[in-house]
Amino acid sequence: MAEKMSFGLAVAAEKGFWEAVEKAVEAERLGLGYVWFFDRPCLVYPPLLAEAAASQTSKLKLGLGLSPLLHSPADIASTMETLLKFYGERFELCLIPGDKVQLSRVGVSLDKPGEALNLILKAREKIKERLKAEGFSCRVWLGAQGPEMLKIAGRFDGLLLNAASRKLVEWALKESNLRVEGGFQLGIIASSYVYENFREEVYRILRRAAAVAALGASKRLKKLLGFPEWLKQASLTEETVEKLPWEIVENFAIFLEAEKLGDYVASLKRLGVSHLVFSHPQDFSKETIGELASALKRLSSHG
Amino acid sequence: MPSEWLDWSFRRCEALGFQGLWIGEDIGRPGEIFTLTGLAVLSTAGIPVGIGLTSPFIRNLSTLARAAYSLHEASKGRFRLGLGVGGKKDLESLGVKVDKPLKAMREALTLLRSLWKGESLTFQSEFFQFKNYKAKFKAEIPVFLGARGEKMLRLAGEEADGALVSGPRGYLEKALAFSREGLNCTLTQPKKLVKVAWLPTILTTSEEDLTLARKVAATILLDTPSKVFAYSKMDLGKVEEVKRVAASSLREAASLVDRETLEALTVYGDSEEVCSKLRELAALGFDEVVFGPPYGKNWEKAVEEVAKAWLRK
Repeated sequence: MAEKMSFGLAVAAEKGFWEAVEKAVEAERLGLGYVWFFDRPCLVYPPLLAEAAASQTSKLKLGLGLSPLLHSPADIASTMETLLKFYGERFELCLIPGDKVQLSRVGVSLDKPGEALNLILKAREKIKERLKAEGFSCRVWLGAQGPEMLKIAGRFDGLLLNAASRKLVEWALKESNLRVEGGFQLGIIASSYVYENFREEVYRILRRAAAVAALGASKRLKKLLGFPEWLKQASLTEETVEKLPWEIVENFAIFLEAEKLGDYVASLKRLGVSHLVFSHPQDFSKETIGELASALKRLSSHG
Repeated sequence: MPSEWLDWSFRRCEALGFQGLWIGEDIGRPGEIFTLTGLAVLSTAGIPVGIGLTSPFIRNLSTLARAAYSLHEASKGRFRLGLGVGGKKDLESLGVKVDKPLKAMREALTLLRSLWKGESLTFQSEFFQFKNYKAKFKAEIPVFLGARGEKMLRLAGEEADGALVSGPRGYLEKALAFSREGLNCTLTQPKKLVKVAWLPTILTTSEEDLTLARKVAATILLDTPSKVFAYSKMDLGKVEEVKRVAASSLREAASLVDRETLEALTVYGDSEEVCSKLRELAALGFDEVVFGPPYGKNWEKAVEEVAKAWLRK
């Protein structure tokens, strides 16, 4: 069981650069420990978001999710070095494979099996080596969900699993043969909506995000979760999002009334999860961030 | 440059009276260009900050487009993107070979502009591949081309918002003429081309500084195409001799660099001389002159002294 749990917010710069930075500043003000920025080939460049957020905050830890398929290991290492050097040791890195479809749109194709796996492993090695040589301390996570990627998780300082349910976490631990011990950290990241005042608009975004994650799941995972036949081949349409059964959604999305967050966190702790990242649409507005922060504050005040 | 120096110069440049900052990328060396430029942007409040230069051929073009957009946003519109092909050796170290630089640079410019307009892009060439890609942002970002050769200067005039011009002093007037020719070829509405002169600047206060200046000159000789020297009034025999030696020993080549060559390729002297030479460059028709590296052995002192001397006039 994890002794302590740290919490983070993943901020997507859907509404512009400075708005994303302001959300990070708000997250620090409200007592959240981490803000994560993840790479998406059609959105702003995460290292610059992290840099601007660092310049406006003092204690907030900043996570960068970068794909070595899009950036060279030397560039990633160099980016981390610059950030660590000028803004202090409060950055963490998560290497992610990235979305296949999105990557193919910018000319990055992975045809050979295991290609992404090898690239990520090599990148980890080079980045760790260079940061160590420069005397920097920076945790390097692996962001993963699929069974192949999970197998290499033990080579990293932590696994940031794209999942929301106990069932998926248990499955991932089994698949990866991971033992959460020593300095290794198990974290989860999922589309989230923890609320006090329910907003239909945010819930719709959450369902869509869950559908994207579900449709991108591996065959093995789809089988494990008992995907109905129609869903196995489905593409992302309004109808798919609408029809997606709740038993599937809950594996990929955290949707909770604020007062129920405590039980959820406790159940994850028992599995060894020590870092929990609430992803889009929890960052929808300062209000939705505030509702999460209040719920987390209540948790800490109850021990 | 050491990180402490960068931090110092970014924080001090506005107070010292500099009216802009350009940050160069050293391919393969520490210091990631976008986060370093981010540091410059976040350390300044009102002056333009530019990358001068980065190559569009060393990373995915979508990454360059996103990073440039982010710097444009972070700086609230003060960012300028400078593009150059990149040194042959630097590119080779990354396994990149650009056989047709002009064609590839024209493609890069067109694609970047298209991406920043938010257009859906499908394109396939040796360097760039896009399939139904559309960025979720829009921006108008000034693009400068680092140009030395005749054709690249024309391309700058034709397609870019500015040109970062370097080369022997005797060549610079010719370079401006080439860029004007390109400007006259432009099919779009009349535009202004911001012309920036960028020669290595060295404040020489000791023999050590002069040695550094000579070494810099030898490096430039080695990197500059012979065609460029043909347009300058330099002694071509001497140029070829230094180039030949520089290929095997830069130090030896540096010892062959005489005052005339130094004068042609760098801006050097005490602070008054440096300023006067920079003003001479401006008088050729440049809109901006860059006080660029290596500055001298004592960088901080050099930057402060030249800034003071410049403001005195």
